[in-house]
Amino acid sequence: MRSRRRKKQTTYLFLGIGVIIGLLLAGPLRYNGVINDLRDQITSGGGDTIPTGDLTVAGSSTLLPITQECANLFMEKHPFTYISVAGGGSGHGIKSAGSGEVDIGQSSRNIKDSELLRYPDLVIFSIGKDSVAVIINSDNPLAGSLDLSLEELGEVFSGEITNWKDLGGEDHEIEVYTREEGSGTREVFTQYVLGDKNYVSTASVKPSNGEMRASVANNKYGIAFVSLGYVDEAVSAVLIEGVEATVENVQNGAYPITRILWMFTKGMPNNLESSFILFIQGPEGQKVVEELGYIPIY
Amino acid sequence: MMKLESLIEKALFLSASFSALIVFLITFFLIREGVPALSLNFLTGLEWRPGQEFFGTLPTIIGTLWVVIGAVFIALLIGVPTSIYLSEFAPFWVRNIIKSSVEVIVGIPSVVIGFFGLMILVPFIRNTIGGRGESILAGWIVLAIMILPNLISLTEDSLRAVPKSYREASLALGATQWQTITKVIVPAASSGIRAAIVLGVGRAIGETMAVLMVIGNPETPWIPTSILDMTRTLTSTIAIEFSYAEWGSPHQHALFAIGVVLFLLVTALNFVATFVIRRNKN
Repeated sequence: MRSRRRKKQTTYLFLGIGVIIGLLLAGPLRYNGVINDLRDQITSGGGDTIPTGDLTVAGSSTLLPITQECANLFMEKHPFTYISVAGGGSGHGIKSAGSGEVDIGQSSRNIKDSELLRYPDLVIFSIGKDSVAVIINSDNPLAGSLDLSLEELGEVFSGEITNWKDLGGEDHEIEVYTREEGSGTREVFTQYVLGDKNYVSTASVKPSNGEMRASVANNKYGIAFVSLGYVDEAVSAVLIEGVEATVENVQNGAYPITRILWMFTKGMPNNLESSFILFIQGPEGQKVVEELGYIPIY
Repeated sequence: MMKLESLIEKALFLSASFSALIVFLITFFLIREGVPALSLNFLTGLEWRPGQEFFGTLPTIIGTLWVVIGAVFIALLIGVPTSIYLSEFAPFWVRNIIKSSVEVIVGIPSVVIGFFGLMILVPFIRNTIGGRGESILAGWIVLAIMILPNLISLTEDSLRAVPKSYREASLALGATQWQTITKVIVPAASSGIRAAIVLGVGRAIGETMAVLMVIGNPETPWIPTSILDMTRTLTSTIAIEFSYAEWGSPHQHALFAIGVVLFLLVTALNFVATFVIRRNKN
């Protein structure tokens, strides 16, 4: 009797597991199917010009302020749309757009060959330009006057210059902050400034532009690099090769570090995706780009 | 009637097997993704440079243990005397106030405690003790705050569970109250206290956000030699690097392997906890 009961129980266990796995596999597929049908109905039913529906965007924290602001303006203009914007980083943006997890991915670095091989059907749009600024604390005696060459910057971030005294400041250790491996901002900074050198091993890793800025704002002896759009009164930007980090100087080519900000869709964008990307590339979106301290594409 | 009951029984069984299934699926996924990166070199290597595919986690594992052991020690230093006071000496109203304020800590999200650590604790350490402020010491304090509530309530419960007759017998034999506490009550409650410690260690190892914000996470972690050194923990490394790691890359497998190491550590702790609690019952 007992063993029969046990046998029965094991049968239920496997049955249960089977049902659950089935539900797990079938659920999303069916759900997606329904949503896609609805979307098709909406877009074919005279929706060619009026964008409607939901849109998800994810990726680089550098593009986040632009996309968020543009999404708000876009949703005001088109009341039957909802755009949700998330961070996650450039690598995540490319990955999740390529795998279809989100509708639009965003990246602050160029797409790698390995990524293009993995996601060959990505369609790429540029929505603005940016630069990377080096920032120090406003209470640092060198604030406002510090002028470094790219080579000197490389020596600071790789730990060959370790004391502010060597740059003309106080006798105190330079406390370096950096971004995590794979960050678009870090990749651009490495490319222009460090080259083949490694970051100093005592550099503290911060996972976003915002935390880099907050760390330097709280640490008199800190130095960090952030997207140009994140430079504000709380910190002081370092002159590079004698040139101030401003939008004009990046545009006229005097400031040595520039990068393009990208968006991706999987395959050709649908009606809603293309209206949103065109909105950002258009006059209203580019005004946002400029107001937030980034550089418009034209 | 019978039919309904057996139906309910089956429904209950289904939901029970569902939670077992979840554990099974997560473990399976973790091991499948992590095993390609697991090797002796992974566990004993000293350099963590994902860009050059050096995946040595020894400094991170030691950093984690440093942070966890120190935090539990501090929590014990504060928690055990507090529980002794609460169970043996405190008048009813004092006990009510202290216990409920300690329990409020449980409700504070860990990111808020981390934020407090980053804005108050880190500058304080930098200005008074020295170093960068972001340090193992800051991690200890933040984690100790988070472990404290559970430690206090579990310890106090086990102290209270010591039969009253033990106390009376000890006092009747002429022992002072202090002697009764140190020689009779605490030893009698020791297995409960040990279980509380093990649970605290488990909580401390798994905690991510608050610790991540105050321990500095150096670019290439080293084996810490001072409590003012920065370090990384297993969880902070995963949390910081995961979103940027390329899908299917060795870096991502290495992060899953860190998850496997963490999983093994916590499982081992659970076994210890079960063992300690069982011994209590005998």
